[in-house]
Amino acid sequence: MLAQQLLNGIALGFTYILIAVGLTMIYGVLKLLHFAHGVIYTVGAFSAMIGILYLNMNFIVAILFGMIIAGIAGVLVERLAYRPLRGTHPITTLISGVGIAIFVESLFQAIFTSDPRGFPATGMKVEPIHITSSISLTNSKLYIIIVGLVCLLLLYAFLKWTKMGVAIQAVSQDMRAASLMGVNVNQVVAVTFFIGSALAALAGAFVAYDFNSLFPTMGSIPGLKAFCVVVLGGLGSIPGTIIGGLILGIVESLSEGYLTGMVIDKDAIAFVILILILLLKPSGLFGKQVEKV
Amino acid sequence: MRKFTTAIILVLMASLMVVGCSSGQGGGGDTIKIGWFGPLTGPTSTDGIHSRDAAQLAIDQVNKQGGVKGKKLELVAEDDQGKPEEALKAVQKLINNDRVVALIDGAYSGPSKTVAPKVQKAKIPMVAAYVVHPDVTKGGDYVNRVIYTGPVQGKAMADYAVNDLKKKNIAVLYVDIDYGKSIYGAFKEEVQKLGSKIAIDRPFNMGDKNFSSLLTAVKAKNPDALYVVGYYNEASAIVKQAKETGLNVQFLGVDGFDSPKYLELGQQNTEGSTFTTSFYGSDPREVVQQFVKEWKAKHQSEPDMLSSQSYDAAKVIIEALKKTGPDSKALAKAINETKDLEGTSGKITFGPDHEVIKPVIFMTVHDGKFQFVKSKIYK
Repeated sequence: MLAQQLLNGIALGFTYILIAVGLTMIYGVLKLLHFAHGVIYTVGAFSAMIGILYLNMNFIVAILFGMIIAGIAGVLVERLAYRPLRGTHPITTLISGVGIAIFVESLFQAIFTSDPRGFPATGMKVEPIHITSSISLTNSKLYIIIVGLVCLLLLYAFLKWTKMGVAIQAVSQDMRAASLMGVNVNQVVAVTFFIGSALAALAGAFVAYDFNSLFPTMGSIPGLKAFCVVVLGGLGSIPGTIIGGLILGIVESLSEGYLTGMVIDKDAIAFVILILILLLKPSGLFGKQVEKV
Repeated sequence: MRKFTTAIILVLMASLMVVGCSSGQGGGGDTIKIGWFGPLTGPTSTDGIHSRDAAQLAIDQVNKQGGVKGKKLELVAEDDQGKPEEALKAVQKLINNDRVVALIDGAYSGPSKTVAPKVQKAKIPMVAAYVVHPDVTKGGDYVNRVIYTGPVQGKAMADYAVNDLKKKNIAVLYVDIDYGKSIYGAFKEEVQKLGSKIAIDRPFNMGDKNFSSLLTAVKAKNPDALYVVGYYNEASAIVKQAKETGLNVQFLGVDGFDSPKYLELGQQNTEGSTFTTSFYGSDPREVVQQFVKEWKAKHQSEPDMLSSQSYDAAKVIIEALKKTGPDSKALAKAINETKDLEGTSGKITFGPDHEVIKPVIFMTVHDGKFQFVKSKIYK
C-alpha cells in the first residue's frame, strides 16, 4: 500500500509542478506573485474541451490548442493587468492579479454555469495499468508524469541552449542590466508568460481528463497550492519547484492514506508547510538568499 | 469617476423605485402570495432554480383550475445565494413586504437552520422541500418537511445492504458535513445491530476531486461493499476512481446521487450502483406522470428529486389552503394534519414531529439509466 500511495503522490505532485513552474519563472523575471495563474489552468482545461466539442479536434491537438489559448491568455493578462503597473508597489500588481482571477472565474460561471461538466469523450479511455498485482496507476496519470518529465526536459534545454532562454535567465538575474545589454525585456516577459501559462494549461487539461470533470473554479485551490510549492522550493528556482511539488504531492497522499481524524483539512497541509517554511527557511529549500525587497 | 458615481446613484434610485412598487402591492388583492427562497445564484444555483420552477409548476397548475376559492396564487421567489444571512433577508422581505401567507424552503441546511426559528416566531407556516438537517423542524408547529431526514436513509440502506444484499464488511466514505455525518451515523448503528461490520470509514470534503489515496486505503481492507454518503460530484469521482484503483465491489449511495450529472460524470463506472431516494420519474402513478409531462414540456429536461420535493412542498401548502384559507394559524394546523396526500414522492403524511412519513425508494443504475428497485416505509 505504501508503494501505491507514493505513486499516487508522485502523479499528484507532477500536476503541482506543471502549474508551479510557470509561477516560479514569472517570479524570476518580474519578481511578481502571479495570482491569476490558477484561472489560466482553468482556461486551458476549458479550451481543450471546446477544441474537442466544437472544433472536432482529437485529444492531442485539443491539448495543444488549450495550451496555446491559455498561453495567449497569460500574455494578455501580463499586457493588460501587470505591464501598466510595472514599477509600482508590488502589492498593486498582486491585487491586479487577484482582480483578474475573480473576473475570469465569474465570466466562466456566467458562460458555462458553475456546474461541473464531464470532459468530452475522445476515444481515450481512462484505464488502470497494473504494475504489480497490488500496485496500479491510471494511464491518464502515467501520461501526466511522462508529459511532465518531457516538458521539464524541453524547458531545461530551452533555457540553457536558446538565445531566448538565455535572455530569460539574464532578465531574472537583473532586469535593468539585461535591458542595458540590448535584451528586449517586454518580449522576454511575454515569452515567459506564454510558456508558464501553457504548462499550467497542460496540467488543467490533463486533470480535467483524468477526473472527467471541469468547472470554473477548478483552478483556485491548485493555483494556491502551486504558490506553496514555489515558496517551499524557493522563489524563482525551477529545481526547487520540482522537488517542492513532489514533496507536497507525496505528503498529501500519505497523510490522506494513513491518518484519520486529522485536526487539519488535507487541503490545508500545503499551507501549513508554507507557514513552516516561512518560519524556518524563508528563502525556501533551493532559494537564493532573500535580497533587498 | 464622477460619471461612474452618477451611474451608481441612478442604478440605486432605479432599484429603490422597483422595490417601492413591489412593496406597494403587498397584502390584500385578488391573489394569495406564497413565498419561496433558495439559491438562485452561486454554486448550488442549479438546485435552487429547479426547486423554484417546480414550485411554480404546482402553482400554475392550481391557477389553471381556477385557483383557491376564487383567488389566484402567486409565487414570490427570493434568492439566498446559498448563504444564511441572505436567506434571513429574503425571508424578512417575503414576510414583511410581500406579506406571503406561507413559505416554501428551497434552500440547503445552513440557510434553513437560520431561518426556521424566525419563521416560527413570525408564525408563518413553512414547508421545507429538500433540506435534511434534523434541527430545521425542531422549533414548533409552523415548520414541516416533505423529505425524510438523513437517519431514515441511513437506516434504510443498512437494512437493504445487510438483509437483501447479504453484505458483511462494508466500507464507508462520507462527506464531512451534517448531511454525511447524520446519514452515516444511523447507517453504522443499524448495520452493527443487524450483525455486519464497518470495514473502514473515512470522511471527505465537498469539492474533493482526487480520491486515489482514500480508495487505496479502502481497498486494503477488502470490503464487500462501498457506501458513499455524498453528492453526485464527489460520488461520480469516487465511483470512477474506485474502478481505476481496481476496487470492484457493490456501490451503495444516497439521494445525493440522484442527478443526471452522476451518470454524465461517472460514465459507465456508475453501472450497478444502488442508492436511496424519494422520487423516480418512471413511477406509474398519475400525479407523477402528469408532473413529468408538464415539466418536460416546459423545461425540455427530466425533473429531478429536488424538483419533485419542491413540487410536493408547494402542493402541501396548496391543499391546506384549499381546506382552510390564508389565516396562518388554521393553515399551519391544516398542513400538520396532511394525510395520505398524493405527492410525486409518494403518499405524504406528517408525523407529530413535523417530519414526513413516506416510502424510501431504492434505485439502481442499469444500462446507463436510473431504474426502480423497490420501495419500503421506514419510521
